[in-house]
Amino acid sequence: MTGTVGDRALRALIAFVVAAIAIVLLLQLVPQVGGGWTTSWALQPGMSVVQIIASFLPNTLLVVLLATLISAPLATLLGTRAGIRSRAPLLDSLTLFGASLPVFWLGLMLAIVALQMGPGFLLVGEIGPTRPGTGDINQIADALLLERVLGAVLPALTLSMVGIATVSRWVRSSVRETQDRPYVQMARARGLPQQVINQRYARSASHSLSSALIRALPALVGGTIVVETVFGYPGLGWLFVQALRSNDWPIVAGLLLLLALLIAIATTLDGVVRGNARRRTYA
Amino acid sequence: MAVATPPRRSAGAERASTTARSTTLQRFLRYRPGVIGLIVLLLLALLTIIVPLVAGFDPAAADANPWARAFYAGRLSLLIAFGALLLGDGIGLLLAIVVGTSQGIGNAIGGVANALLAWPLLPIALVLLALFGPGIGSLIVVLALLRWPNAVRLVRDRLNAINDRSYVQAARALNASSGQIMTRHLLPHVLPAVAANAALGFGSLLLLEGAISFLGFGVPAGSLSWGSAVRLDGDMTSLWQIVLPGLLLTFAALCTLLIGEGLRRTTEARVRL
Repeated sequence: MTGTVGDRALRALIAFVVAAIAIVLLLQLVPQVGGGWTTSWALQPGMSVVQIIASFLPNTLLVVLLATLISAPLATLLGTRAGIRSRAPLLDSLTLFGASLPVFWLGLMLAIVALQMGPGFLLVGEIGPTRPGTGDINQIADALLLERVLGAVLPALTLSMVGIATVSRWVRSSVRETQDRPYVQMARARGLPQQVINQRYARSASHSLSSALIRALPALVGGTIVVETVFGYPGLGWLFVQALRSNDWPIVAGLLLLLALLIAIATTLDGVVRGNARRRTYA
Repeated sequence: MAVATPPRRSAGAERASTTARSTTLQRFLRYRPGVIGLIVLLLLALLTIIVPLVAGFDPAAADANPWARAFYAGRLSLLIAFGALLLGDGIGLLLAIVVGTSQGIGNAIGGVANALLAWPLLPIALVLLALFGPGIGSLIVVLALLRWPNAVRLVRDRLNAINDRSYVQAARALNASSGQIMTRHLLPHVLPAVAANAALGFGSLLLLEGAISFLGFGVPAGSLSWGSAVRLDGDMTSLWQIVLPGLLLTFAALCTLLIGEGLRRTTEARVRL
């Protein structure tokens, strides 16, 4: 057990180092204008990159946490329900539609609806990708807690709509697979009530859910970038786009390194979770 | 677009195979939503050409008909996604064949592909496009660069799965060349899966292009794609100008999901045979 975890961690560490080297090599293409690589060039010249990222991190965590809290239970519920029945045309078509929605457009539609509700309703920043100025980063990051929480609602809602559609489809197919497993057939043959059998489905779905949440990480990162920019919400995704737009490459490099770290951790966790699930299934 | 190539078979076998062993195409036609998706997508592509012509669309005019504008924007989106798909999946398929046939280089390519697959596509695409500048050509190349590992993993997994089947071993025992085995026995079983994967990939490339162009890193300023059409800059005359491009993009992506599901079913039936 510890051997495999250590093995996976080592492999993830190697992948992280390789990614870091690739990022550094890639950034050799950048025309060197500003000072060193540890401080911001354009957005907030002279300010430490670590400090800037640290001040934006909580906002993104808030959005992601909120989105996960909304989407994980709903995705499990919908996916399990659709999986238990042999045919679930309504749920299937709803999730298909949800999976085809462009995140940026969905966010824009929600933002327009919010604008109709009155000025400043659930919106903290300016809507749209065309926000020209850089603003004072400190001021943005230090926005009031209440304002941040309210501002996180719509981005999180947008993210979770797409998340529910995608993850529930994974859960559904995993539940469908489970139906053919011997222990479920056994339970049915013994005449156990459907509710008990459903609980076993749900347990199997919960295994795949933790794996699904990790598998969803790439889409989540991409979605956060889009959603935060659409709503002008000051998180890491918004920072990333602003830094790219104003050629603030140290911030871009810092964010990419953070992402590489996140991926390394997630792949290690994924391996451990899957290993556990496999052991339980075939034990 | 991505229609599965039916495996080569003699005319007699074709006639005999009405029920038990139908061709990939026949199996695809049996899944109604997939067929509808294919028809709608082709229709949509056709309309992006016809509607702006009929409505007399002028891209520079701010008060253009929103329908004509939305369909016009679809031209560039479909073109970019299709170009990137052909380039990316073509490279991926070739590399996967190398991976499947030679051990040394194969493992290296497979390792690179696996490492890339763990990364989200959007940030990498944005960084590359910020470095190389926006443009239709660079967008296609960058999307293709992000696309190939997907095809490599799929084909590699499939090849590994059927490499030890008895009929492949039999062909090997009969001293068939590796090229012969690849084209006669391996590829016909892999291509339907590649087609299913390509259909899904077409949709995700459309969505990815939309996000990139929406953020302003994709198509050059002033040109219309489904992503750049909903940017809030310029003079907006009606809400439909941002509603319609997104709706068309959603429908196009939905069609690719349905086509992909239909193609996936054909491969499943194949495995059970």
